Amino acid sequence: VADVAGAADTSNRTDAFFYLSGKAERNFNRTDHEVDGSEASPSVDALITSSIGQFRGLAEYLLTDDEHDLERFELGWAPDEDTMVWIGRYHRPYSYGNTLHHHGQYLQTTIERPALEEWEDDDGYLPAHATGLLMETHQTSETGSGLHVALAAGAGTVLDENGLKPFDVLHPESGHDLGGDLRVAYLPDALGENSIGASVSYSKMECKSCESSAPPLSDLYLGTASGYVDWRLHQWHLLSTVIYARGELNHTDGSSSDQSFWSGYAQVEFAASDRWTAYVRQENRWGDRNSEYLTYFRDSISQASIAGIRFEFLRRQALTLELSREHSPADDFSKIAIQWSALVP
Amino acid sequence: MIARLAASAILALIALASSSARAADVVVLVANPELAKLDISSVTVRKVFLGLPARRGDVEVHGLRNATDPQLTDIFLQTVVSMSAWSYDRRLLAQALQNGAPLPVEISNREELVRRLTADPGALSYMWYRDAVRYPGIKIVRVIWRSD
Repeated sequence: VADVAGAADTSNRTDAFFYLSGKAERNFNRTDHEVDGSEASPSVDALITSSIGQFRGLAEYLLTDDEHDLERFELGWAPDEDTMVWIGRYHRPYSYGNTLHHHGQYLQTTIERPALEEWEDDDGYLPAHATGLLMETHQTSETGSGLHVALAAGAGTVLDENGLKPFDVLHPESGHDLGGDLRVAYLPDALGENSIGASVSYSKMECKSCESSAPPLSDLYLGTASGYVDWRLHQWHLLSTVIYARGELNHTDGSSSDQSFWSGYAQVEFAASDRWTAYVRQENRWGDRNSEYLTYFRDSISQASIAGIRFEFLRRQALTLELSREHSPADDFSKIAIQWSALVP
Repeated sequence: MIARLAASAILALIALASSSARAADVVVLVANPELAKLDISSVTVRKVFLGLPARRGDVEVHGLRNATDPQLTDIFLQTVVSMSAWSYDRRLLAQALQNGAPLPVEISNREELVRRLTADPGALSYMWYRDAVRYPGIKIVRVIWRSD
């Protein structure tokens, strides 16, 4: 009995992680040179993972002062050691940054996420969540390099006057059409963290009360193609993504328009030690003026220059100070933010 | 004559002590006897301790981190995963975050470690050679570090 129990202890495992953070920030409007607002926001992101033989489960629930959402809920099966098939609500794999990070803050070096990887309910202008099937596979070559492929298809987002709305497992609504993704990445060391990759995605979205457009929108098709690099060399870390998005917007009167825009960022980090990291990031978006789609995201950041420093202390705790100058279609401001983040246990 | 004998005895003791020290400073990879029969490459070992799934035949391999001795942990980080403790911690957390990968079990009691190695046909760990030879229920796979 003891033997069986011992084996079960090792192969079946459930872990719970609580990502805590508190952030205070102050905005200075660059147009009228006045303080635009201050904000303090706490958050708890609970991540529960479970592994039973070839099966795996993952749930992520976010609780903040203004939202509480089941962000991910996935059940997985590993037909072999290099393949996982998931069903549930996942972060869409065409966006590398969205699969690298999550809704907790501690494992993310910066305070602010790049605008092109921002979540739907934080002024994100590209779909980040979907509910359906996700398959990931890793292949290792004889030389030790690796190829990672992620393929996904599921119910995506709808667009309304307030931006994108992903399919919510706890509050399912109709109108969420299909979104599909493919990402291919090359890793020089299959077990390492450096990778370079490319992805494509497709989203069909129903538009609800999209009356900012004249005539109003009925639905749209959004396609993306992107490339990314995530590279570490000694104390340096480069993380960069460039994405091309093309949309076909259909209006209620039967007319349609075809528009595109580009977006990208480059983030460079320097780890002076395990405790101290300095970073800078530059973000840009091109094509705002010609994009009817982006008029639904007037608060999304189209340009940003960010610099910050992060200090790790005690066990899994960090303080981050970040300065930024940001521009959105609606605003132009500078910001100072300080954040405490931690992981328990 | 007595002085020469005493000197020889002291030299012999020093040599013996030095030889025991060398024998003690060896770290070995250990496994359940079922798993030890199979080929366990260094890539598999690294994979297992990075929290990635690994199978050999029908056996799912599980890494058990030996936390009974801080020096052993340092040697493990240096030779098996080639990372600092901080980087290793972040890497495991990132894997759990991205795909729900279970963290390798960490065990700080040697008897418990041996019990799990004996019970689980896929269990893999590391320990001082001097400790490994005391437990007939586990198998030494190979040497992963020696002091010289």
